This record gives sequence, C-alpha cells and structure tokens, in this order.
Amino acid sequence: MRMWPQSLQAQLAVRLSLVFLAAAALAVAALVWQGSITADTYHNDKLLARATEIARYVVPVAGGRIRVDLPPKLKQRYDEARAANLYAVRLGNGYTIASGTEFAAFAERAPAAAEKPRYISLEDFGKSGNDFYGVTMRATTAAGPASITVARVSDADEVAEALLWEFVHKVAWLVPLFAAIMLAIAIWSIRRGLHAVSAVSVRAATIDADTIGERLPTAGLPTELVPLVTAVNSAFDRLEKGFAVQRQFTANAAHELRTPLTMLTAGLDELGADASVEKLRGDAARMNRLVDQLLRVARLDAMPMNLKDAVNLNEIATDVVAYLAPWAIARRRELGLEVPEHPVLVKGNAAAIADALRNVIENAVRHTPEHTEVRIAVGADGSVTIDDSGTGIPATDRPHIFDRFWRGKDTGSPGAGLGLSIVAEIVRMHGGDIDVGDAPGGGASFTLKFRPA
Amino acid sequence: MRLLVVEDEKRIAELVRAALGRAGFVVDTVGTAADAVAGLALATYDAVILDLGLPDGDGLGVLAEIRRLGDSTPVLVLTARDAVEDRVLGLNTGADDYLIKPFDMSELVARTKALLRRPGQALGVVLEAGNVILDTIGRDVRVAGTVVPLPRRELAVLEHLMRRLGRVVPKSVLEDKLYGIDDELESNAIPVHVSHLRKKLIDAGATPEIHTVRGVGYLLTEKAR
Repeated sequence: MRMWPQSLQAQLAVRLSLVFLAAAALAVAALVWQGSITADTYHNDKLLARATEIARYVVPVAGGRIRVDLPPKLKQRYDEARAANLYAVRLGNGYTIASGTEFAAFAERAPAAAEKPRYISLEDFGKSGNDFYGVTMRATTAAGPASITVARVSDADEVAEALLWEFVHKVAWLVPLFAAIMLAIAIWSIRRGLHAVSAVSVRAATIDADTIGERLPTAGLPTELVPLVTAVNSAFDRLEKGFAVQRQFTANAAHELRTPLTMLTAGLDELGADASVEKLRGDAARMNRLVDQLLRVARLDAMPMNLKDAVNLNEIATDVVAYLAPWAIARRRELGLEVPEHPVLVKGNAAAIADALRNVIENAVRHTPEHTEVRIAVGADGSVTIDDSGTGIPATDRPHIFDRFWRGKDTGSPGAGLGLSIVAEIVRMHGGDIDVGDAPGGGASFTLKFRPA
Repeated sequence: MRLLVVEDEKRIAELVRAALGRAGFVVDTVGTAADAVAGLALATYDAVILDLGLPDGDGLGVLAEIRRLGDSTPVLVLTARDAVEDRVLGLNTGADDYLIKPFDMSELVARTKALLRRPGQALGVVLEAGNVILDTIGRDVRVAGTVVPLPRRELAVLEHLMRRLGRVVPKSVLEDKLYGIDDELESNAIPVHVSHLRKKLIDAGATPEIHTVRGVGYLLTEKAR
C-alpha cells in the first residue's frame, strides 16, 4: 500500500498544510512566551511602585513605632481587598506593621531587605489560601530606613492567558484563512503547470503507427518538463527511423526477389505446353507464393499498423470474394458469400483483415473438391466463417496449424506453411479469436472473430 | 492498337512486348520516366503499361504528370510493392488497374484488354469474348456469326459482363446500371435476367460461360472451364 499520495497536487497540499500549521503553532507559542515575560516585568515594576508608595505614608509615632496613614483609595485596596493585596513595613529595630497578622508574622521572619529588591512567591497563603507574588525592598521612610514588603495575588498566568485569548479572538482566524489562500495559490500554479502536461499527454496518445512523424510541442511547457518531452521526441525519432529502415528493407527485398521471379514466370509462359514445362511452372508458382508470404510475414513483424478504424466486414468480405472468384472458378471451385442485411462494423485495419480472409479462403479452395462451393458467412457479431467440403483438419493437427512453417503430413498443398500463421497473427493483432472446427458435411470450418467497433 | 510499355528491366520488357505482340498489339518499350513522358507527348497510345520502380524516378510521378496534362489514356501499373498503401496511392493518382509482380502474361494480356474494353476505348465499341460479339452501337449480339435476339436488359447485363470479362461484376452494380431510381426492382430481377441470358447463350452454342458468385455477383469467362 502506498502511504504517500503520488499526485503532485496532493503532495504539495499536504506538505504546505503541515508547514503552515507548524508555523502557526510556533508563532502562538512565541507570542505567549513573550507575553508572559512582559507580564512578569510589568508586575515587578508595579510591585516596586507599590512598595515605594507605602513608604511615603509611613508616619513615626512615639516609642520607635510607626503608623501607616493610607489615603482612602489605598485604604480600600489594602483593607477591603485584603485577600488580594498585602503589605508589611519592618523597621530596623524589628518593629513591624502589616495589613494582617499573618503577613506581619511572615515579614518578621523574613530576612531584612537587601540592596536589590527580592521577589517572593507565597503559595496557599493565609486564610484566603491564595497564591501570592511580591517583593521586599529597602526604602527610606519618614521613620528612617525600612524593609517594605508588598504582595498581590499572582495573576501573571492570567495575563498571558488573556493575551492568548486576545490573539485567538482578534488574529487567529487569519491563520486558516492564510492557509487556505496559500493552498489555493499553490494548487492553482500546479494546475496551470500540469495543464500543459495533460495537453501534451493527449497529443502523445494520438501518435500512432500512421502518424509516427508527429512530435510533441514544447512551446508553453514549464521548463522543468521540456527535457522529458524532448527525450520522448527523440525516442520517437529513433522509432521512426527504425520503421523507415525496416520498410525500406522489405520494399527493396520485395523488388529484388520479384523481378527475377517475374522473368522466370514470363519466360516459362513463352515455352508452351509441355509436361516438364508445366512442372517447372508449378515450381515457379510455389516459389512466388513463398516469397509473397515471406514478405507478408516480414511486414507484419516489422511494420506498425493502424488498427483503430471502424471497418465494414461485409464490404471487406465482398471485395475479397470478388477478387478470388475468377481464380477459384478457373480451378473449378465455387465461392458463395452470405452477409447480414446491416453493415457489420469491426475495429481494425481493412487491408490486414482482407489479407487474413484471402489466406483462409485460398486455403479452403485448395482443399475443397472440384465443383464444390467454399461458403463464406459474415456474422452480425463481427465474425467470418469459412467452410469447405474437403477432408477437414484432424483434431491432433489443430493446435499446430497456426505455427509458422507447419505443414500437415499428407497435404499435397504447395504452401510453405505460412498462410495460417499470417492469419493468426493478424487476428491476434486485432485482439480477436480464430477457431477451427468441422464444417457441416465434413470439411474444415474456420471462424475469425473480430472486435465489434 | 498501340501500347507503351514503361519498364526498366530489359528482359521483362522483352517478355511483355512478346506476349502483347502475340495478342495483336503494337508495342513500344521505354526504360525511363523521362522517355515515357516524351513518348506520350509524341505519339498516341491506346494504353500504357507502367512499372513503378524506374531508374530516374517513380512511375507514379509519370502517371501524375500525364494526368496533369489531361491525358486520359488507360494506365495499367506494374509493381513489385504490394503494401496496400501503394495500391491505393496508385489508384488515387489515376491508375486504372494494377498488377503485382510476378504476374502471368495471360493475366497481363487479359487486364490490358479489359482496360481497352471500357466505353470510349479502342475495344469499347465492339466487344468480343470467345465466339460472342456484342456491337454496343448497333445493339446486337452474335454467337458464332449468328444474331441472337436479346431483350434490352439481358443485352445490358451481357455488355457489363463482357466489358469486365474474367472479373466479377457485383450484382449491386448491375442493379444500379439497369434500373433507374424510380424503377421498381424485384429482389430477384437480376438473377432472372442472368438465368435467361445464360440459357440463351448455351442454346446458341456460345463458348463463354456465365458463373454465379453467390452473394456477390456474376462473372463471364472466355472459355467454358
């Protein structure tokens, strides 16, 4: 199973989404962290200010004692909201005054303030059981130097949380929006790039045996794809050249073989009717047939062929029967054709199908007795059946008759054993079937089945 | 009747000339495309036998050139190629028929005569097959010199069979030629005409024979086989 999608688009979408999520998470974390640092500093400054403020309201009273005269506003903070705000003032002589006895006890126990302010954390403190955060600093009061401690309920986390919520409310909705926009842009550019690719693919799919000279255009393609298309084009070049060489070779071979055969045939025609000349004519005819079939085999092996047309089997069969009829009649055999009323369209190459039919019908004429008819019938399902009235094909021979150069033991036929192998090859190229059986009345029956168009 | 044979293989040209000569034709032979074009410009030929593989060019070039000049002399193409594309190309360029090498001389003579038997060609007025003679102008048929009276449509069937002597004439072609669009055509009209015609020819002692290619058409052979 493939875990990672093969599609460029899907890959890019997944990767970009992951990157964007990671970036968004990092940004939020950094913001919260920075927020909490800022909150801490803000707190510390605030606490120092409070301690300094307290120092201002220290009033000396007789006997080395002091009073703290807070104005109403501060009084409200430290009296009424005493569960949240604490202060304590300790003089050098140990006299301590505080906003509550618990805090006073704490301040008395604590060491005296040093040069630098000392920050303190109190967990689960006093009656309220709140956590407190505070500072102890040295300050000069009207009653001389004192250690002043102030504390308040720690709410630094709340500030950070508030910042985070603020971020979420005001900014965070932008994250998925940006992600969506980025993805859309990425997919759009990929689509644009790939559009050219699919156009080229469509073009490449149409290149066929008979359009092998065509090339794929590189214009408008993304530069990354140009090398691929160029390489495909040069592969086409080599293929076309190979075909051209092959075609030239078979054309030359055909000409070189047929010219002397023509001279031989024509020369024998000049000699008149003599038993030995007749034998030589038979030999020459056999040679002609062999050369003809060898060239056909070579072409089938080497040449690409257009097999995509919808061709009418009725027409092809009619043409082939009309072409072969004079030859069959000269041999005192008849041909009969039956076709369905409507055209039978199959997918393939008309010339190749005609070649296959011609071969099978020629064979049938060679094997059917004098004054009998070879019966050719086109079926509406895209098949052609050829029945003769000969001796038929023994079941043991049937698996071999389509092999190249195979010949039955007792056949007096002049063939080289190539005809049926050519037929089988043509039918195979068309994705069809060939079947051999017994004709009604005992001869051989060949059925060539093609694919309906 | 004068024929031009364009063939660069001297021996084949000689054999073709001999065979056509025996059939009663006057034959000129040339070996190059240039000589062929020049020859056709100088003299009038009744038909041309044209080999496709010539030393100074393709025979199809010669064919295209003479057709371009408006010359409608029938042309029989000889070729050692047999790829179907070549055949189609030949017929599209204006060849009237083709023969693939190697061929029988008797086939060459028969095909040449068939070309000349077309309407308007040298053998197209008085058609001959064995002991049957059909005068296409006088509209009469003689078997061994004796006039055999034939109804109009039977005579037309015989004319088409004689023009394409030795080759199949599709039944559909006969239907098209014998009956107009408005004529009512019984499905067995042509077979009935052919069967009457066949009987009359046999009764008159004609040597040619009408063969039926069941499902396709009819064929006249010169001698009974």
